[in-house]
Amino acid sequence: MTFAPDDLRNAMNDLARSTDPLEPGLVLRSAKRRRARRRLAVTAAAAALVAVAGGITALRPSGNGPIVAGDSRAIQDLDDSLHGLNSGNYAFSRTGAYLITDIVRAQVDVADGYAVEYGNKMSLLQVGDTTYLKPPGEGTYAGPRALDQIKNAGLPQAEVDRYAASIAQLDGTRWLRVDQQRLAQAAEVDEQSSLDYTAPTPTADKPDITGAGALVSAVMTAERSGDTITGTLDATKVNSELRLVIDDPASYYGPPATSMRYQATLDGQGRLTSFTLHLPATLASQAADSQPEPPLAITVTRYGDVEAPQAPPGAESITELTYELLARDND
Amino acid sequence: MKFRRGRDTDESFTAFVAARSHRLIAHAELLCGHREQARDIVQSVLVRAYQRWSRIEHDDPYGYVQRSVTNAVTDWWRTAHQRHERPVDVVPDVPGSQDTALEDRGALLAALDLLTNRERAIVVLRYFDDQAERDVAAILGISVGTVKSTCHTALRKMRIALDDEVPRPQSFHGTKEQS
Repeated sequence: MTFAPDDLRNAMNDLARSTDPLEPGLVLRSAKRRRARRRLAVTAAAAALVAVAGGITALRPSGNGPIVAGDSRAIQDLDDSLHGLNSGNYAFSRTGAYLITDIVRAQVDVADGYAVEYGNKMSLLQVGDTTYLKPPGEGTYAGPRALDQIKNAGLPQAEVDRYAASIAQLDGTRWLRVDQQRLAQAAEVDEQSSLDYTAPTPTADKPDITGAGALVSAVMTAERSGDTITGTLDATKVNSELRLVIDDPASYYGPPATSMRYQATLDGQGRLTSFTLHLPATLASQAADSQPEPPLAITVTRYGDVEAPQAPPGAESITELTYELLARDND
Repeated sequence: MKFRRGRDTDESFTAFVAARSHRLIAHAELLCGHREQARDIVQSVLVRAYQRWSRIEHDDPYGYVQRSVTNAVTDWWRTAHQRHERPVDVVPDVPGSQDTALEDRGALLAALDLLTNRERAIVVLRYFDDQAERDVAAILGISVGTVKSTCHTALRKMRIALDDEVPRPQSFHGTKEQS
């Protein structure tokens, strides 16, 4: 490259021209997620990672109740189908919730504990009053590079050892005894963390953490055929604090936000076995990469058949530094 | 009304990202010398800018976001060491193709990497963003005289380096003066 101010200017502009832009739809989605997180942070207790006592309220549609265009009995059947969940002993999986990592499997025995395994391989387990976390083993501190950078930073050996111990705790193979409040505090740090998108804790007052109750409460129309109920729900009526659908769905999806299609199935005893919410294929914002989103799908099994979880053998006590790293382990 | 306003804002925002983000990424890459870091920085700045986009979009949004990117890179300079994230791959990988533009990209970034952070910022603001010296001085909080003299020094360093076919050493970031 020759060198004169104009050559420099041209070379820089060449670099710009050969640079790919960001994907607009992905940036928009990240921006909306951040906005949702910040709004939720304002209502901190309910939005916290493991809301120990605050509880989550499933809002009923406001106004004069649901407008039933179809079989009004079907809506009653949907309401009744939640009784099994409210008994507090069940297993479930869930994919497609807006701001919660997919749940591969979860077992709830609200009287004695619960276990949740997430799609990012992170697991949370509560046995009695003790909570255990198995970190996802991926992200900022996964792999040897993170520790290599620490070693190359010129820190005292004791500090390097401290980081090495905490990075090892995050390797995804160990169960850590944790304080739920400290996890909640780590999740509230304004950095990307694997703790940011976890489900609330089941409690005796709110035993249903599947989100099905909140979705059913927003149902506007229902029609039953055998054990299958189909219809529409108003996503603007779903409590945004549960992070099941995008915050301010009317802005994101436009008018279809108020009439999203769903399908529910019931077992022989009328208990909910699945609930699938189909998200609108067209975005109001018409983002350049707009594509149909996968549905929000909940599957419930093993009503009354879940046993109390057992404490994992060999669990370690989490260190102070590990809490700090967890707060930004996905940044 | 709320729906309408949100949709218009989203359209304006995504159109801006599609049309201008590549130049913002280039701006950040020229400043920090690290392509993926530059993309992360620009995405973070855009995500934050979205929160107030309805106020930004009608008043030089590119200028606003570009200033934010400059500040974000400056913050990254300041905190990278504390966070142990100083990149070891000083110069982005440059494919060994016959593409002249790509070869220039590598030489350009290698030459910029010889500069102090302040020198680098001044060169980028002056020659990529075409900012006037007084505007560069205002952005960086220094005097116009300092802009002039620093720019002169920076260009001299780059000229020598480029005339010598700049090597791409692994040690520049580790020894670079923090300004």
